[in-house]
Amino acid sequence: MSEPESDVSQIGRDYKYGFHTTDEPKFSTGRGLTREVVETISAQKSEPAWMLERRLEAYEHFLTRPIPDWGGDLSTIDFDSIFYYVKPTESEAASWEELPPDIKNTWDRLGIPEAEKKYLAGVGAQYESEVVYHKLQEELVRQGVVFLGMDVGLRDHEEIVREHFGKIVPFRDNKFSALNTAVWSGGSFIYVPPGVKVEMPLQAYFRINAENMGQFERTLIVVDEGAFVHYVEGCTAPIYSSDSLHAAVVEIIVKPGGRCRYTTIQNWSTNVYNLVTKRAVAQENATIEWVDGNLGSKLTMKYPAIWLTGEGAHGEVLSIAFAGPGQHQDTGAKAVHAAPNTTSVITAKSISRGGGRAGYRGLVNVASGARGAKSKVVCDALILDEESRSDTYPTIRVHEADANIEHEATVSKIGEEQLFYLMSRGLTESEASSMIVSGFVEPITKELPLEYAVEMNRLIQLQMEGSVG
Amino acid sequence: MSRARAEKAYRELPLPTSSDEGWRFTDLTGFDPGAYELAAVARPAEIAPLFELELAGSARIDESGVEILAAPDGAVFAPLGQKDKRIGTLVAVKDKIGADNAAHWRHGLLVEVPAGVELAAPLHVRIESTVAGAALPTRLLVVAGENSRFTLIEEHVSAAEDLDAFTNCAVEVEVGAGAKLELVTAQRLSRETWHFSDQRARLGRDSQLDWVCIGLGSRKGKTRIFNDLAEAGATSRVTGIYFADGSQHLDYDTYQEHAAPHTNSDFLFRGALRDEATAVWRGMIRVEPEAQGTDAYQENRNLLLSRQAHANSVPGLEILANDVRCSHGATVGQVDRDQLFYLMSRGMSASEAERLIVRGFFAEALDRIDREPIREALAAALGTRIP
Repeated sequence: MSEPESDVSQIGRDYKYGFHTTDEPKFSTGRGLTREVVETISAQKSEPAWMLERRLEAYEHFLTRPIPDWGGDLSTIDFDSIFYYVKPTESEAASWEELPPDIKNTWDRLGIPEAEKKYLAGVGAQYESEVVYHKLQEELVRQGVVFLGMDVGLRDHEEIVREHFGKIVPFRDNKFSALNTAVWSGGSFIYVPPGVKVEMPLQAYFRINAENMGQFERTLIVVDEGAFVHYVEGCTAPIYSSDSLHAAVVEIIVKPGGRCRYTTIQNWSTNVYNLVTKRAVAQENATIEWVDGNLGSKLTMKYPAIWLTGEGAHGEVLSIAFAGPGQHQDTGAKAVHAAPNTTSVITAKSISRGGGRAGYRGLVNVASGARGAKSKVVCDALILDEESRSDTYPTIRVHEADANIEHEATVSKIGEEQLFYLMSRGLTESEASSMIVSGFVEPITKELPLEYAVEMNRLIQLQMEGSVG
Repeated sequence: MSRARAEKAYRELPLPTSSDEGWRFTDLTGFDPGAYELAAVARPAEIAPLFELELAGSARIDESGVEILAAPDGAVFAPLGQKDKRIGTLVAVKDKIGADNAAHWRHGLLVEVPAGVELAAPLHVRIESTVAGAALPTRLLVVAGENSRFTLIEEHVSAAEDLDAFTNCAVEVEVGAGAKLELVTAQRLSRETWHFSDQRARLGRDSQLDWVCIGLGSRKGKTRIFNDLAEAGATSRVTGIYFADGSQHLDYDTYQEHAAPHTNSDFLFRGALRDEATAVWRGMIRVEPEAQGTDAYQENRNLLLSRQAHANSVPGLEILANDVRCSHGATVGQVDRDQLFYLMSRGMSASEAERLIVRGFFAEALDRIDREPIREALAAALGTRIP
């Protein structure tokens, strides 16, 4: 336990990933975004012409698209000061030893090589704009599983990428999907062949190191018929006084009978704008699960979406958000029922404290003809002090009579009876509060891989210490 | 807002479109407020009352003016003066529709019950749209003095079943400290009427407002219900009951503003939709930082009775205080087939069974209506909507 006078309640001050190194990048486009920057990124990657065309179209759209006037305050993003492309190393390494010492040291401090040995089937590590390390277990390679950095994925599997890229999240979807499409770099490309079940998770780790960095990774996951994969991503960044921008796009297709689970532990430092578009399509009897943990960032706007396009498809979103001092977590989920007998379950929990603002923004849309569709949404929020705020903005649209849609949400403080009971058993108030909050988020943490669940509980305890009274 | 400024706003503002917040699911394409003119002469017709009640006061408003049929003792129940300074203090002009009312309203009713006065029987005002092609912009100003108690029933009706008209009503309600006000708003306009209603109540210390809002008629429009729990200890309960069929589109936009400590609000809206009818329900519970001890609830349940009907439900919570209990629930579903099968296996016709299930669906909302004649009349009116 920490000393009583140290204020560990501020996650920002305890943020153990806030360090940075001063390594020299191999190449950078400098600050700001122009048509030339887009062309330079494409040229650096020796891409096919169609991708450059797509980038330029998206760039033009980005310029014309207004900044969203809903969600969080985006007026403070200085698009001209951002570095849109920074290349840290010459090429992707297949062993940690090949990396420059500063970068290897960063991954060691984050514990990634250690985790890889213990419980991961494959690891990708992205530093600034590029994937610097990538490896997949031999056995999975033999079974035809593809797990690559997106750039390499485009080079080696151009047909699959071309078939799906931008089909699930078109660049016209929103301003930040347009930005991502224009300047994307890095991210993961995953293909799981029919019937192959990848038992251990594949992990991608995203690290921003430089100040005013813009990270725009692009991920495409194709899970073929009857296959399964669990993909885990983690994100951290150093603490700087000025802001960085992370605007990713994730597209997932789960073919008939397949299942994909996508777990995110977002722990950006509190100077990062995190504006991410994530959408998955589940075909006949397929399952998509988003487990979305948002602990860090200055502002997150992220609503993982499920499109249930095949009969019997099922989708789940488990979302958890913590907003501490200076943080705004505008998170949520979307479920679109476009086929009969599709089901979705959305469970969202949020906690705000120290002036933080956490919210749920969601959509459940049942299209005409989606007979027998069922959806249940439950949102619960805890507000731990007078300065904090919680918002709930769900939208429910039902165009099919043969559907059952339920939504419920509750906002409250920690129950005094619970607190009293635990304290009468000898716990201090902060221990008791911590325990109640851990219990509150348990339905979600129990779905996390063990290591993350432990980490999540540790973070909750840190957040809670000295924070209530 | 002066008439001149309102007229200017009316001329300059465009009609709300589906990209305007609050209008996403209500498309006003095909509606031209300018096409409806004010009429000086009304064409009243015999309109059957929805319920029989003994009344303490009664009035009717149509295109030609206000008629006070019976005035209560000890309270003001009179045409609303154009110069009354309280007009516009609660309902502000937010869009072209609001500007239309502020610029063009001619007839209104003032209901003012002094401090301490209790009226045993309800007051009743019927706003009758009687002229085809005419606009009927009206206002109500209701002032419940401290510790007063009374009931006001406000009805919106048409003189003919197919009357094409545009009604636009602004209702301002001031509930004084300790007062207890029951409001019943019953809308059964023709299916060709564009109906807009902007209703806002401000609740004083320890006051109570019990509001029943019924929507059976109209073509399309928007009904706003804003409760401002402005002072400590205020309590409001709003019960909404709606039924739409054919190509009707009903839109309820509600707001529970908790601005003071220890305030309670409880909004419950239930609606059934048949044929190609659509409904929108939007709700927001907003708890300001100083409103500690708030207890707020909102619920919207929709029953879809046919394949083409659809419902949009947009509840919301914005909570800026921590010592609160706020929750909401929304559901959309269809008639339970097992229930239907069970009832029909007992010898009921499909219509009878459906009617019974619909009655069950509305039971919780109907049970919140204390006055039996209103409750029974409404239950019967709902029943007749199932062929």
